[in-house]
Amino acid sequence: MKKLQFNMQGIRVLQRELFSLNDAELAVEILLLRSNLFAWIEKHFELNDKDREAFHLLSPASREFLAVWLSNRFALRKSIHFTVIRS
Amino acid sequence: MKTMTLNHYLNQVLCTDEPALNLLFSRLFQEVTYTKNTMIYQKGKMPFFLCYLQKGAAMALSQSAPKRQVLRIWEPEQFICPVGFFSHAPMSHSVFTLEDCTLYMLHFKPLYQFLSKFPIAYKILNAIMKEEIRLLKRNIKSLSQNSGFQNHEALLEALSITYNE
Repeated sequence: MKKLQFNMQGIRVLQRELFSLNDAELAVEILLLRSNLFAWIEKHFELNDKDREAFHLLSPASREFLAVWLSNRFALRKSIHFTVIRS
Repeated sequence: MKTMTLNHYLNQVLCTDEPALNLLFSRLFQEVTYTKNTMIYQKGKMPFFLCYLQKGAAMALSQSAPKRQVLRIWEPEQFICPVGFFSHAPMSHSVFTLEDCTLYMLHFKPLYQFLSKFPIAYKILNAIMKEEIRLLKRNIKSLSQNSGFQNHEALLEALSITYNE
């Protein structure tokens, strides 16, 4: 998978790619997502310094919640609605 | 007949509420096929793996003929969950296939590595054990109520089962 823009369009494209994977391939993605959320985001999206900074401002609990929620949605092949807000 | 994959079974039957971990957990299992009348677990030996029986049927017998007794029957989409797998005790009986089976096996090492990485996955094991207790109770009730099962020798003969220890 090539890196995508970190915006709504990029997230939609990534979801389509993820949902086209078989269970074995999806499990590889979910393992990384669940183990290291930021590494998974960096793997798929072009991030700028502000994106990285914003991510690192999240509390560990928030990151954990996000990893669990995202991985559970993707495992069920259910899409997410995610808004990237840039100041 | 289309059977449920392990991942779907964990999500839909056991309802563990952990779909991501269910997917990862189900990928730890290895598919094996056994022909009819093959020993899966042997009496006296340690059970080193759990089994999800996707296709076929299996039976637990207490001992060799002529005193053998049917202890348990497993149908498709059930776990074969020996107590000794968790307590590290040898099998008190043997389990063998009643017909050609497709099984998914999980050895204890990858299981414990997985639980060490994701302790919340104990919820999956708890759900499996809860279902196992429910099936065991149903099995005991069925064996005690169904007089046809008392004549298990005839049943085994009819199935051409030639199990011996």
